[in-house]
Amino acid sequence: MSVDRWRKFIHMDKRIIYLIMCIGVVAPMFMTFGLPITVERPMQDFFNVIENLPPDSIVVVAHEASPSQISEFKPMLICLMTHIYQKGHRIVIQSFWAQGNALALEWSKSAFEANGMIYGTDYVCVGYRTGLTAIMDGARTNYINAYSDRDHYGNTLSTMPVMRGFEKASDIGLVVIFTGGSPGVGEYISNWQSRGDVMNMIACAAAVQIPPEMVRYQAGMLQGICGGMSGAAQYEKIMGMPGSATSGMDSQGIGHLTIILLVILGNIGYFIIRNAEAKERASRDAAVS
Amino acid sequence: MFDVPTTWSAFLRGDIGNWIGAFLTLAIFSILWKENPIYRWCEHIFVGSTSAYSVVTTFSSTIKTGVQTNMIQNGDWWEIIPICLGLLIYFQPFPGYRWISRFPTAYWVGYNAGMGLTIRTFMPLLTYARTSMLPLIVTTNGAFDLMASFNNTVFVGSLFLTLLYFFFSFDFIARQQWILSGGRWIVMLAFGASFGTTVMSRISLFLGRAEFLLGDWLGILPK
Repeated sequence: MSVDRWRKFIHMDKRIIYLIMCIGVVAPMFMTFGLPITVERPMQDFFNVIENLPPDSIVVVAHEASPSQISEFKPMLICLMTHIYQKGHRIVIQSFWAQGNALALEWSKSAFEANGMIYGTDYVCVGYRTGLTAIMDGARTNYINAYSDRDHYGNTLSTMPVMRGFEKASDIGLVVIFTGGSPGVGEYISNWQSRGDVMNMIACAAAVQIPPEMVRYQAGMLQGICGGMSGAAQYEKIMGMPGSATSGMDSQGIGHLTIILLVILGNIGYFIIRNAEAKERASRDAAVS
Repeated sequence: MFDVPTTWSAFLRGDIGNWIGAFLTLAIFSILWKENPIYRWCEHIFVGSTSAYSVVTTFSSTIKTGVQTNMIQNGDWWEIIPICLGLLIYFQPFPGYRWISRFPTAYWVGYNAGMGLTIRTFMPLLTYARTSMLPLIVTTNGAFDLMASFNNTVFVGSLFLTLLYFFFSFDFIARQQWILSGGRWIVMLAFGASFGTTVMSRISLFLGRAEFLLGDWLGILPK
């Protein structure tokens, strides 16, 4: 390819790149390649933590998320709710993001219905509260009082079978934190784990949150991580419940390959143009001298 | 049996909701072509509805529940004190009384500074420091573990190079420049990893919308 063509390629209209990316991501939705999915260690650890919990444990699902995370968090929630319920634990959903609770209930709906889970007996949503530190601090001594004894719908929490024996944060067997930003894992670690209330914490991280959560995982603060759509696909594989994450991994793979290809071509073009310009400069200088 | 009300959102789960969602999604995507008034309009709808949702949710779940349950039912009338302290912030728009709004701000800053210095910063930092002290020679079941030793060496080496890269107390002489260069490489590799996961996240976001448009709205995605 001539230098001029490389120049044109380097200065390509960004809308063409958007179109290429769009085709790269959408095309695999119609022709499934079935790219292999390997279960990685952080995901296996995540799974094992739930497997090894004592029976009838309280699992707090902290859904700190916003609607844009649907493609990553919805498949994770469906697998997680099914997994926790099948192991015989009780689920308490909470969130310090205004939309987090409603989204958790909406996205988990198919898992609740498929497993015949009963609200108030198998799971409950305690709703949104502002003042994270005050609530988490209060929950260390009396969880129900910290939530004013009311759930997401205004029902009385203390009369619900799901809350039996659950008085304070140290009664929690496991906290599963869905993290799409802040507040997220850091707040749970500083308020509950650093103070010795809940030591078992695992995270479902949006892909953009994987690097900071991986540091916490390596430091032992998190016992496992289910990260991004790839983590969701791995969870679906372990659970034997192929769903939207498994089918989405083909699009992810092709999308990544497209970007890698564009980065490589862009770099080749950059070096070719730089060399050509250096040669031009050298011949111009020679002509002048 | 506990009350789980069906809200009007159930109505939006059908065709009408899909059409509204599809229109808003396509309108937001239109910024990829160029700036236009429909995009701007939908952006304002998004910001407005998100703010309204937060205000209503905060009022109904925190303020209303707190007053009804804690104060009226349980008789915890002392909670009027933090409420009054919080309300002082609304003196902010009145120049003559603005100084009053500094009381809740001062309380909040002091409280957060105290929390930030102790549990939010110091305790996680200690954990990071403790777990960074890894052995460079690892033995597993009495035998030398080459892979674990290599991993720990890379980890500890990267940690030192990065820390030294951000050590500004003295100038590195020419012979020590490799330390800065090594630190810069490690930092760049970390940024690269971070960029990779950001791309992954953005593709996931787009995938969610594409599934909605092609599946829920148009119904042309294979089952």
